[in-house]
Amino acid sequence: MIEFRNVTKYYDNGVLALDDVSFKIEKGEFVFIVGATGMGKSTLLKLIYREELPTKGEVIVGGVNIARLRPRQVALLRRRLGVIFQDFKLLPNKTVYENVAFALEVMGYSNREIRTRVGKVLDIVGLLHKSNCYPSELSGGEQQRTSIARALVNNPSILIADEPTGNLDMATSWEIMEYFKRINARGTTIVMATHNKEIVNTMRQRVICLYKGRIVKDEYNGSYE
Amino acid sequence: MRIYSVMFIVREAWKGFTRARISTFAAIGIIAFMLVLLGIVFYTFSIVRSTFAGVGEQLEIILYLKDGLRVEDREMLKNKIGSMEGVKEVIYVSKDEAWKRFKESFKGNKFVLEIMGKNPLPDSFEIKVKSPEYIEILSKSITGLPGVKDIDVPLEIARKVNTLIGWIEFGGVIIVGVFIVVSLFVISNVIRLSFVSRIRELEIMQLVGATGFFIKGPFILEGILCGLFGGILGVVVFNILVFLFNKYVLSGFPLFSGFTSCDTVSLSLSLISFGMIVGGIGSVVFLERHLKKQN
Repeated sequence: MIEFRNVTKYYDNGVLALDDVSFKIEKGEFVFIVGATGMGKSTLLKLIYREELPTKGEVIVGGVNIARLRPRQVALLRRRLGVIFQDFKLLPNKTVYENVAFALEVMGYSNREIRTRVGKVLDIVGLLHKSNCYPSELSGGEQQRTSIARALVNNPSILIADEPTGNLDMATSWEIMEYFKRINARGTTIVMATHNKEIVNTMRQRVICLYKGRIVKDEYNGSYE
Repeated sequence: MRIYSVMFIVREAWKGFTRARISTFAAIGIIAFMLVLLGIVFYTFSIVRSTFAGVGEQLEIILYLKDGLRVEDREMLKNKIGSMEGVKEVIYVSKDEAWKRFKESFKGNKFVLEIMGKNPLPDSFEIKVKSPEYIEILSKSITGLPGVKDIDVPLEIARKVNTLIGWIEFGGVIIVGVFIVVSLFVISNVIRLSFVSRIRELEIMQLVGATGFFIKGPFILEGILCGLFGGILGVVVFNILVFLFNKYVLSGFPLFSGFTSCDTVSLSLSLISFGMIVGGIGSVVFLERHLKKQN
C-alpha cells in the first residue's frame, strides 16, 4: 500500500528532515508514527500525500511512484487518501455540511449522490444535527469529527492523520480514536503521527519511531518508549 | 465537462461573492471609482478633441472657375474633385448666386456696390473636407486641374488646427494610457487582496484532490463578477456625471454644444468590459501567486 525506499528529504533551507528511511505499510494496517517535534513525522506524512517530494529514494503509494505524478494525477492520488490535521483545516465560511460536500463537489459528483454520501458520513461521526453550523460554532472535537467526515466521505483506502488529537483534551481524543478504530476495522489503512504516549501505549498497534530523521524503532504491537 | 462541475463553479463563485461581504463591497467600490475616473478622463479628451475637429470641419476650400467653362466640363471637374479622398461635399456656386450673396452681405453699403458695378465674381466650388488635415494635400492636387482659375485655401488655420488636434490626441493617448495602466494595477490588486483571506481555501482544495479547473474556476469567475458589478456601478455614476455636466455646464456654451460628441454608450460598455477583464486578471494574479505548484 505504502512503501518508502531509502528516502532522504532535505528542505530548500538545507534542513535534513528524513535520512535514508525505508519501511512498508500493508493494506489495513494501523500505524503510529511517533517522535518528538521536529523529528520528521510531518515530512513523512507529506511525502505520502505528495505535499513534498523526496530528495533521494522512492515513495510508492498504491503502486505508483509519487515523484512521477503529473499535477492532475496528484489530484487523483489525493482523492484516494483522506488527510486529517491538528488544526482541522476546515473552511470557515462553509457549514459542516458544505465542508464535507466540498470534497465531493470538486470531483464532479451529482447533487443527489453528494446529499446521500454526506448525510451518511455525518451520521457516522455523529454530526448530522450540526450540519448547518459553521466551524466557529463547534467545539474542537466536533471540528475534528467534521474533518474526519470530510476525509472519509470518498471512501479512501488510506487515512493519514497528522497529530489529529494535538488540539483536543484527553476525553475528546479517545472519542476520535474510537472512530479511527472503527474506520480501520472496515479495512482502511491508517497512518497517524502523534506524540500522545497514552494513546499509543493503549492502542497497541504498529509503532514507527523517528529520531532526527531516522527510524530508530519499528515494532508491531508496540509502545511509545 | 459535466453539468455538475459547471454548476459547482458558478455556485462557488456566487457564494464567495455574496459571503465575503466587506471585502467584496470594498473591491466593487474601488473598481467603480477607478472606472469613473477612467471614464471622465476619456470623456474629457473626447470632448476637447471633437470640439477642435468640429472647428476644423467648418473650414472649406473655395475654387474659382475659369470663365466660359462648359457645363459638361464643370460637372466633370466637380465629380473628379468629389471623388478625391477627404472631400465631404462639393457645392457649385454660380456667379449669379455669388453676386446675390455678396449684395446681401453688403446691403446698405451703396458705395461698395457702385464701385463693383456689374457682377465681377466668377463661378466657384465650395469644397468641404472631412477633416482639416486633408486641406493641404487637396489644395495641391486641385490647383493644376483644367478649368481652375484660382483657389482660396485656409492653409494657416488648417495647419494650426491640425497641429492642435495632433497634440490633443498625443496627450490624450498618453493620459488615457496612464490611467488604464493605473486602473489595471489598482483593480487587479484590489481583487487579489480581497482573496487573501482565502489562501487557506486553495490549500484545502488541493488537499481534497481538486484539479486546477475546480480551484481556479470559482476564483476567476468571482473576480469577473466583481468587475462586472463594479463596472455597472461605475458606469451609472459616470453617466449621471455626464448628464449633469451636459445640463449645467456644456449648455452654457451653445457654440460648442454643436460640435462636442462622445459615444457614452460604447464608452460605458467598454468600461464594464474593462472592469470584468481586469477583475479576471486580478484573480489569475492571485492564483499564480498563492496556488502551490504541483510538479
